[in-house]
Amino acid sequence: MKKLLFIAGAILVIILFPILNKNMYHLYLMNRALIHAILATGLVFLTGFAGQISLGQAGFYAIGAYSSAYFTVKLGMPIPVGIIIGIAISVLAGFLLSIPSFKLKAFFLSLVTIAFGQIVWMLVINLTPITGGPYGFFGIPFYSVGNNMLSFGQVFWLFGALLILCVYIMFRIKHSHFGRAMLAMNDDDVATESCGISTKRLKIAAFGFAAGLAGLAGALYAHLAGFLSPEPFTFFESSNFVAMAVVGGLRHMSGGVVGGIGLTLLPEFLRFGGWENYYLMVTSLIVIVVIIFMPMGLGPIIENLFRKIFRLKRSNTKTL
Amino acid sequence: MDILRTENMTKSFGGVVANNNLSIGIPEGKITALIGPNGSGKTTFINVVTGVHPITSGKVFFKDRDISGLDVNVISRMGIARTFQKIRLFENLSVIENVLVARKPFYKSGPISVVLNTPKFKREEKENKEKALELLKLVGLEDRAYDSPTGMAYGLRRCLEIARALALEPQLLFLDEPAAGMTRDEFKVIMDLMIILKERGITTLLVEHTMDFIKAVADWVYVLNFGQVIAQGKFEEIERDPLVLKAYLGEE
Repeated sequence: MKKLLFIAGAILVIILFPILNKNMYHLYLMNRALIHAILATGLVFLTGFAGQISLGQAGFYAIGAYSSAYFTVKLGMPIPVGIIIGIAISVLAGFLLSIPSFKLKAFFLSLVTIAFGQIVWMLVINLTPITGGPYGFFGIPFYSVGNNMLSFGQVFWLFGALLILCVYIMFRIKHSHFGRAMLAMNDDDVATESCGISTKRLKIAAFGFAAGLAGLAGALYAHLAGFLSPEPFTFFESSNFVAMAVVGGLRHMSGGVVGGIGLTLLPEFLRFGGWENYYLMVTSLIVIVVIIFMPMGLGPIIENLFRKIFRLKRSNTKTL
Repeated sequence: MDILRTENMTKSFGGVVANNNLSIGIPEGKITALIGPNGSGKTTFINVVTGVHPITSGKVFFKDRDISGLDVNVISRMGIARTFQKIRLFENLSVIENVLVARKPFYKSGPISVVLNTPKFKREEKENKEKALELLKLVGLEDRAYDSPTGMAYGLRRCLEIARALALEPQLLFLDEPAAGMTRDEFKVIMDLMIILKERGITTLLVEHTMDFIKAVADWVYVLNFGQVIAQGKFEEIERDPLVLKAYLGEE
C-alpha cells in the first residue's frame, strides 16, 4: 500500500534529520517546532473537526509545563510520570473550559477562552510558591535514560514519535462514529442532537483532547528548556497557536503539523535573510496572505505536492 | 393506544403563545397529520415535543413516560426521529456519512477500541455501513452514497434527511413539511415511502400544507389555529368543517 510507504517515508525523514544535521541550534528549533505541531494538532481537532474555538491554548500549555516541572522537581517524580500528570491536569482543565461552550458560540466562546488563558497566566505570575512567578522555575530535569542524558537528536526522535502517535490517534477518531459526530456538530448542533448524539459530551471530549495535547506539548517544553518563565504563556502565544492551525489547514489531518512546524521555522529563515528587524511583520503578512488566498491552509497544498511527486493516488476518504 | 400524548402543553415565546393548552394524542402505527395556517404552532409542537424548545407548562408523554424537559439527544434515542422544515443536512459529510451520524447511538465501541482499530469496531462499522446503504436504497439514494449532499436536487435532499431520521430506528417519526417545494413526482416518492413505513409499524406525524398529500396518507388529522386544536377527525370530515374553512379561507 502506497499510503504505508508514505508514512514510512515520513518516519525515515524524522530518523535521518538528526543524523544528517548535527547543528544544536537547528535541532533545538526543530524540537520546538514538533512541540508546536503537537499543540496545533489538538487545535485542528477542536476547531476544524469539532467546530469549537479556543484562544486560550497557552493556558493549557502552561498547565502542562508547570505541572510536570512541579511534580518532577518538587516531588521528585520521574519525567514520564510528570508528563502524564501534566496531561491529566490539563485535560481536567479542558473539561472545565468546555462548559461555557454548551451555551456560547464563536465570538462569545472565544472571549471566554481568552479569559481562561489570562487567568492561567495571572496564576503563573502570582502563584510563586508553585511557579516561581516572574523569576522563573529553575532546574527542571532534562530527558534521560538511567543516568545518560539524551542528546537533542534523540529528543527529536522522541518528539517525532509522540507527534506521529497524536496524529494517528486523531486519524482513527476522525474516521469513526466519534469523528463523524464531531464533523456533524461542526455543521449543525440541533440536527446532531436530533440524531441521538449528546453534543455536550462531544464538546467535553473535544476540549479535553485539545487540552491534553497542549498539556503534553507544555510538559515536553518544560523538560526541553529546563527553565520556565511566564513569557511563552501569554495571549500572544495563544493567538500564535491558532494561526498555526489556520495556516496549516483547520480541516486537514496534517494541518497542525504543517502549521506548527512552518510557523516556528519561518521567523528563523527570515532572520537568516537579513530581515531580523521585520520578521514579526513578515510572518504576520504571510499568515494574512495564506488565510485570504488559501483558506483551506497549506496542509492540502503540500499533500497534493507530495502526491504529484510520488504519484500517489488520491485516497478516497469518503469510502471510510 | 396513543404512542405520544401531550397534556395541556403550552409554549410561549415572550407574549406570543405558540401552543396553547394542547392535549393531543398520536395513535400508534398510524399516520397523523397536523395542519393549520402559517403560524398556527405546528412546527413549535414538534420542537417542544422533541426537546428543541423547552416546554412552558404542561407535560408530554411518550409511551406513557414523561419526556418533558429531557435533552433533545435523549428523546431522540428513546425512538423519536424528525426532519426539519428547512432541510438541515451535514454539508461537510458525504451522503452515507449523513446517515451514519444517526447510527452513532448504536455503536458500542469506546474511544480506545476506535484508536486500536479492534476487529469489534471494524465489524460494527461494517454493519452500520450496510444498514445505512439499506436505508439509502429505500429512499433511492444508493447511487449517490459517496457524493456530497450539497447541490443535490431538493427532493433528494429531503429523502436523505428522511433516511437519516430512519437510521435512528424510530418508533415515532415527525416529518415537518416533507412535500414543501416539491414537484408532484417528487412527493409521490415520499408518499409511497410513508406507506412502506406504516407497514413497518412506524408511527408518523406529518405537518403539511399539500392537501392532496394528506388526503392520500393521513389516518387522522388535527387542525391547529393560533396554537389550539380547532378540529380533529378523518380528512373527509375536516374538509367540510366550517371552523377549518374559516381558518384557512377567512369568513364566507
